Amino acid sequence: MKTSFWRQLGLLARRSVVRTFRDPGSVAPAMLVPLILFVLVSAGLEKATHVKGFPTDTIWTFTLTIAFANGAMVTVANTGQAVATDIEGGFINRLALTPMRSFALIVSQLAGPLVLGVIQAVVFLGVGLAAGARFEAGPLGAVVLVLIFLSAVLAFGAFGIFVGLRTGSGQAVQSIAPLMTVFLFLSSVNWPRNLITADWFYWVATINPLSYLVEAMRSLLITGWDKEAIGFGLAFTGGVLVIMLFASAWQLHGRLVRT
Amino acid sequence: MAEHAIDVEGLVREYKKGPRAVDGVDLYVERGEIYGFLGPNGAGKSTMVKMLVTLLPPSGGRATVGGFDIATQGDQVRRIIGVALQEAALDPLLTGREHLYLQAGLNGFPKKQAKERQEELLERVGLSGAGDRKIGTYSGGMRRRLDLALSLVHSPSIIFLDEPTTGLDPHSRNALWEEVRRLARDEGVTIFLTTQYLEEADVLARRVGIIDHGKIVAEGTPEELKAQIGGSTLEVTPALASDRERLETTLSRFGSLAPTSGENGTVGVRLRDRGAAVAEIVRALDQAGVEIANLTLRSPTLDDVFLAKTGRALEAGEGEPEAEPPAGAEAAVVEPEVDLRMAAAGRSKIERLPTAMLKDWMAERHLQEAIESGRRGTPALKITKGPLAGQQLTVKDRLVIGREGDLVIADPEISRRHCVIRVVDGTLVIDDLQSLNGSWINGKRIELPTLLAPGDVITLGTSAIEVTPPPAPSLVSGPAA
Repeated sequence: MKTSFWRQLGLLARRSVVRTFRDPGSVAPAMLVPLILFVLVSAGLEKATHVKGFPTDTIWTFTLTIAFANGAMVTVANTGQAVATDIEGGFINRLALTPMRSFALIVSQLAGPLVLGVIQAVVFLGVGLAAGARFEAGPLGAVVLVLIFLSAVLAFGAFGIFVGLRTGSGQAVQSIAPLMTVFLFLSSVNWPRNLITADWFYWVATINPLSYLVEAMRSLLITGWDKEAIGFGLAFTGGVLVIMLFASAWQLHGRLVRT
Repeated sequence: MAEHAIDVEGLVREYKKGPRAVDGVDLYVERGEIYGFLGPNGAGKSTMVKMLVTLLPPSGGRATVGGFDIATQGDQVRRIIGVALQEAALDPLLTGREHLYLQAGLNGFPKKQAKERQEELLERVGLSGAGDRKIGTYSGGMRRRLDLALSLVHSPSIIFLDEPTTGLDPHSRNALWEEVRRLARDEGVTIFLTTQYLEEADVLARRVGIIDHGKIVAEGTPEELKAQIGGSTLEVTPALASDRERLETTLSRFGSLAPTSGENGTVGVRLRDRGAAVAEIVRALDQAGVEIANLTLRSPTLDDVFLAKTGRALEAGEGEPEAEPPAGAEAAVVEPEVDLRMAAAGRSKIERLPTAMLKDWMAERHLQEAIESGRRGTPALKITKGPLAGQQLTVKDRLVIGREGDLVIADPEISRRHCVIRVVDGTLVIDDLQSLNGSWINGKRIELPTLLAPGDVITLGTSAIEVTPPPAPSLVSGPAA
């Protein structure tokens, strides 16, 4: 009996969703850590709105993207850990012995984080709006922000899958998480690029692609419909997604040396 | 090559900067056969399995599984095989049902059939009640059973089981053995089973391949392999240490001297003649003036085969099961050729009989007593505890007791063929048939044929059988053999 790619994808995606929501270690950090950061950074930067040139007079509007950016980055650990667990526990061998297509396995791993991402987005938006954040681009802008966020979830998720397949180790995946946080803080997530005074930091934030993701989401909150910013953001997430999916497929091919 | 289920020719797996894990293995497995692949940890068993199931490309040689080449026809091989690898690779966050549904779906079952197959297999491995529990809550035995069920989802004709009972308690191991036997017997499934446990290979496999350092060191049926190294081993301990030299000289006339623990001057001899040499040896020792303190007759085991072929014992290393088979399980195997009259010589086992008693036995004094006893009538049996409690029976010639046999007792604690009771010169003699939980007389586990007398209580699993005086004809009932 043969199974279509889509049926395999559906079965494996269902597994990804089920195991994501049964693992408190996946859900709790993805929901709580971004919100805690959002509240802490907002409290710390409250007076920043008085700085000349600061793009908004409501700090919550500026900092809401912190929750989204951080929430997307948590996906790296979630997908990476899931793949590493499958390798360490031998489950990937079980799957390899079925007529499963490798690409279905890779893509399906994104299903759980994607569904979790929708819930994250609703919660972050709710909390943000309740705190006082406003969308310059209106309700449709909120929808587009969620879409950019979900594209980031997929991109970071694919990166996590690549790391998981490359290392085959849950510990290695977990060690990536702090590096990702450093990477995020070296972007314009906490401070507008035009107000960064240290030359080196400005330079690092400019070449850091995460800045463009953050600015794409922030533009919808502060500027309105900035096609260039949105374009850069989507190009970043789309590029990472495509590259990482193919890199993961290559890694899986090497790992599953079934004849 | 395709006439066999599995054909392997010069298969090699070489790791970078390492020794050959598998080094030119040749073997075949017939269709419907259970083939035991026995070896210590690190011998190359799992590497061999991974190559045969297409998860590891061979470095050299060739092999076919179901007629398909493992190196070039991986897809076809995977379609006809079921695999339970050493680690029961399950997702702790999924339930048993979800595992089976996923496996069925990936193997092409439409939704409805996938659900039906899922329920059928859960039922078969006795996990219906636990099907909705997450794997994280399963015991080792439950995981292994689910693993086996997963390997059966697409009804494969060849199944690879890599150390399937490692870590299982005796009950779970028995259940798994039974299912493996059933698959081969009722469904004609070919089973390639790796194990590091002698007992498992001995009781399950029709043929056994012994691997060490990546090479097959012996292959054949367990009986053939044991026969290759000669007959039984007789270990004799002299009463006086100074007699050791004379003991060795005398024993060497009956076979080659075998290694023993050497404690108390014990000397072992691997007997050339599997039959009645014991009596001759005792006579010879008597003539040589060697007084015997202890005497033990032991049949060859697969461990002896491994020792003979490799020069070291096969030991269960890491991953030893929580409930390893009793240490004596292998040594307790008694040659069926051993004259059961020996057992009638005394109530104790024939081992540790002092010389005086052996002489008495040779004078047939005890045998005469047994015959006298027989003239008075053969004792009967009354089941006092267990599923058949209340039944009375007589033994006419022999009675095999077990979950199969002449007297069937449906008790999971009892092995398929647990023990046999024979009539010898009008008396009853019980012999354990390598059962897992043993046969017990009056609270003592027997290791060799033992005479039964009225008043004795035989315990088998949860059942108890009392030996009663010869019954009046009107009392005889129940299954008589």
